[in-house]
Amino acid sequence: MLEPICRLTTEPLDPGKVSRLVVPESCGATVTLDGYVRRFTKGRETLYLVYEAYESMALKEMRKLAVEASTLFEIGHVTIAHRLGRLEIGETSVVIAVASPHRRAGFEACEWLIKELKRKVPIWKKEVYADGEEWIEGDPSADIA
Amino acid sequence: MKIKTLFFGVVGEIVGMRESEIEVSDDATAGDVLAEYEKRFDGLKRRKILIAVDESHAPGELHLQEGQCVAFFTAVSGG
Repeated sequence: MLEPICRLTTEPLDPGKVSRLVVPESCGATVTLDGYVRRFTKGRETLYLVYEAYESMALKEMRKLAVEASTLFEIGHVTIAHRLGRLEIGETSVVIAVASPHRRAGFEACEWLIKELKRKVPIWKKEVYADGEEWIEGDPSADIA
Repeated sequence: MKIKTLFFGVVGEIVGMRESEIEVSDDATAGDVLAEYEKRFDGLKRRKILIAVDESHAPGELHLQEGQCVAFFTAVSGG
């Protein structure tokens, strides 16, 4: 597989651009996840989000996942980009783009990558509501150590 | 021995700092370092705290070496 691209940025993410950073000639499709900020979660209204990361470790973990994905699925390239700082409703928080010779492997790898990112990559989200704020905790039972 | 410590997300808010240093015994584990901070900051005991040592997820039983960097945080919630 071509060298993965992993990025953290406080600047707005453009999913179209991220998904087209690498278009390998051996591939025929790129499956792109555009994750963005939801206004309502379980009936509660979010005003905006703040993401924080352990940046050096997050980049390492993202890279590890991209490399592992390439051993599990027949894919040609992975780009993972995650936004940090304050994000408004509808803004893109994460982009995962997987290029593959055939689409099925791309869909499967993309789903696997977002699941693993949410389990392992040290990034935290703070939800700011009209009436308070809260650091969101992921699944604490996930065995990652 | 001296260990560098980092605190992220809600853990950083509870301890009121982002990084620090701590002196622990030479046979200390990552969990021993956490227990030390739990003594000082009550709020930590109400959370399930996860640990990374030198930028890798690590179990509390991991024995530390001088100069290593131990990070504390809750279950990740990116995406």
